[in-house]
Amino acid sequence: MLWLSLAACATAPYSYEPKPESWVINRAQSQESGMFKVRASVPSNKEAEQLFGIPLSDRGIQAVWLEVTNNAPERARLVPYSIDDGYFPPHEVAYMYRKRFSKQGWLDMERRFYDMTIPRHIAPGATEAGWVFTHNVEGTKAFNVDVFYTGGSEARNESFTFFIEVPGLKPDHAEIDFRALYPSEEVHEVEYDGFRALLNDLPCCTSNQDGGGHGQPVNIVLVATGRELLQALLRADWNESIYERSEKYLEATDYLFGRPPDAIFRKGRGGTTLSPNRNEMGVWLAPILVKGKPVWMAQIKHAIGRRFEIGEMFLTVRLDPDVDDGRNYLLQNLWYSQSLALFAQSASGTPVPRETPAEDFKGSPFFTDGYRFVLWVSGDPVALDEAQTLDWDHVLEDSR
Amino acid sequence: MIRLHVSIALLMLLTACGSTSELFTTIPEGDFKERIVAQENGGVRVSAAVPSSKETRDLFGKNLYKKGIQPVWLEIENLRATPLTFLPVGLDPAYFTPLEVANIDKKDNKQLKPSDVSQFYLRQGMVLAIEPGKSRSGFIFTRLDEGTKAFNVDVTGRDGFETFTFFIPVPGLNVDHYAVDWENLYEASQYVELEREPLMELIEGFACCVTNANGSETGDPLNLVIIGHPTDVYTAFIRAGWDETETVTRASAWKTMKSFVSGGEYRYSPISSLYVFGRPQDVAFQRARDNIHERNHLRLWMSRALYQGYPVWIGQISRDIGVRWTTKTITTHKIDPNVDETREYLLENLAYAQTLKAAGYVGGVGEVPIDQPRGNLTGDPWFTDGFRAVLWITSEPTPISDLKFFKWRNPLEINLGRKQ
Repeated sequence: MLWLSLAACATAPYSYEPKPESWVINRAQSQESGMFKVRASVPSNKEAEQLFGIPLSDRGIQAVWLEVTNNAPERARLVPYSIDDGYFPPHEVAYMYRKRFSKQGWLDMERRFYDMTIPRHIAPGATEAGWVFTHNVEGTKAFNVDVFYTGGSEARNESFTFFIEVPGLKPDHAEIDFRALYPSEEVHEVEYDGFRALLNDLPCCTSNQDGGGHGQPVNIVLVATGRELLQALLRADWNESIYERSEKYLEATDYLFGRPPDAIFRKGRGGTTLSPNRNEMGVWLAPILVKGKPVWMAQIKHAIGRRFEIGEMFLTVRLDPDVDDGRNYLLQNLWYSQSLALFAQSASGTPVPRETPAEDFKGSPFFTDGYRFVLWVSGDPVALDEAQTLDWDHVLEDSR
Repeated sequence: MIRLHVSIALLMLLTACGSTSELFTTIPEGDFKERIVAQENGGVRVSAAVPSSKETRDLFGKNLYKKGIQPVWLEIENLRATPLTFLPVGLDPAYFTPLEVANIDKKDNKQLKPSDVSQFYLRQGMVLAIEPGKSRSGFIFTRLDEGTKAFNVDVTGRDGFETFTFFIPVPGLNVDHYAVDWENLYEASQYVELEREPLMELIEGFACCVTNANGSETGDPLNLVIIGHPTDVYTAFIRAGWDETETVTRASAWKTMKSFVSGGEYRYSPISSLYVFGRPQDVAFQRARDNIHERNHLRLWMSRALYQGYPVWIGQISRDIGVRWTTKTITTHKIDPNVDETREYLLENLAYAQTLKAAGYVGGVGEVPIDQPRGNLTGDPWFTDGFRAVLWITSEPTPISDLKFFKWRNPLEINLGRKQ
């Protein structure tokens, strides 16, 4: 039986649904800069499977459609490397899926993908369109597109940044009506000094569902519009997650301001054999506006291994007890991804010495120096050496 | 300007490095401390060293290299009057926290109390805050790079931001170019300094392709021309994420075999030899992607030509897109037949890693159309527009906005393949 099905598979010709590309192109976003215009669109995993005749997402591949119009009097050069530095060339994609088809089927697929790929060079006055195969991202697809002028003797380029919502995954933050969270009379409108004082009144830590139970410290404060925050986190390689409100989730999650996180972002780590190394960040909108900008409280949990809990029939993760490290990491992460505008340290948390760690309501130990990092997040890129600091408190002596 | 000094006087550093834990007072003093390298700039002095696999095992009692973790020892001395902050993300954006490392292979320290192990690792960790006039040291746990460890150390403070770039060789890997005797590759009298036109003529006259050992068969096209001193080439490729390759030894053949079977990532597997000028490549690099089946290979041969005093190299690059069975070598990598695509990828890779001073094109391979492909030595097809990319490499970080275009063969006039 198995032999029969394999044989059948190897003789299959390459086929795909004859959907017009306009199906995906209709919702393309358009941007113009200098002499170039770029349009971009990203199909859902299901749409891509129909267009290309293979389940691209099974191999972690996501196709991005691009169109570049060159209004310069010289040839333009599109740089696929700027979109994804590990992009897949069309022959490689076809080779990955060759076993589904006959030899001729594979070659037909290879030639079709090659023809569908957007060329790097765009003649003066011309428009070129086609696909780039990138790594798959769940949720909003964030990417840059760099296009170079080639006429001069030095490299000059235009940079485009796209944030494209991909059908198929609705992120958790899209389910929440942020405007309805706080009545306007509950919102504190403050300047820097008032903000600094107000941080002392905010809860040190999360709690469990019934409001009792001691959770881990909330040691990150972000100042940004929702859009700026989302763009910055996507640029720093954090992934969105889906909305989850099952009984089991509500019992297990952390609460602040009497509710579960408004959004959860996750970030993995590539290039090692260690699997469960992952950061998870819960974010809550706070009832505060600083100089008109919304304030978000956040908590990072950094998984460092597995843990088997007796009495519960499932594996849970072991969390890094040094919760300050997650906070320090986010500071640098936003800084290096050019999203940090202003930074302050606030001694408004509750210290827990390393020698006598506390336990949260789920039994995970933690310790902290009691400082919070307050990060003003920029939607526009800020160079590494242009980030400013506010002279509030200082982590005087590192606890180590 | 990056200045590297190998510090011979290490005495003051040793105490900082030794463990304060009673449990680990007998840490053997590995040789890595004899390899400390120091740099000073902008009121900050940074010393760094990288323990080898064996030294790491001796220091921490765990085979961290096997887990893909490499400790980097740092000492930062703040000579300023204001506090300094060290930013480990600049060293490795996915560094491991000390407690994450403590949690690995817990069976290795089962005779110890878990809390003692945690305290030990916390104490080994490098601090972020360095007070004025103070010196702090410790380990940062990074992702593994065998061969040369290339990294930045970034510090910031009210008196400014400083970056230090280190390239530290780590023992335990036999690397191609160490075996090449650069001094005696050619007699001094054999090198020829060439002007642009004669150089282009020379390059375009080089063979189209690599050959086998006796020169009877031709293989992949020679589609790269690199200009730069060996040290520039070496520094630039490492900064752009390429790894040196290991010369073939029994142990490395065994490691390659294992990663073939498991598909796991062994980034330093030796590269097979191809011939130009009657000799195998002088240097080879590879850049691993998700597993061994997906990597890019690059081989370079130094020619006798000099351009503005810099050696000119001819080279070949190919992208593996999978593994297939052959009668010649049992298994081989299937390469992307669109070799121009791989060539352009390299240009972008080097430019974005800020290692490229100038770029352009020359001919010399001859056009090979997609529907009449040629074959390499293992029978893989390839096609090309026939051009060689000329890449002038620099070890000085050069932003893309400073990249110059050579108008050697003007890309506006030549028919660059539509889909490279």
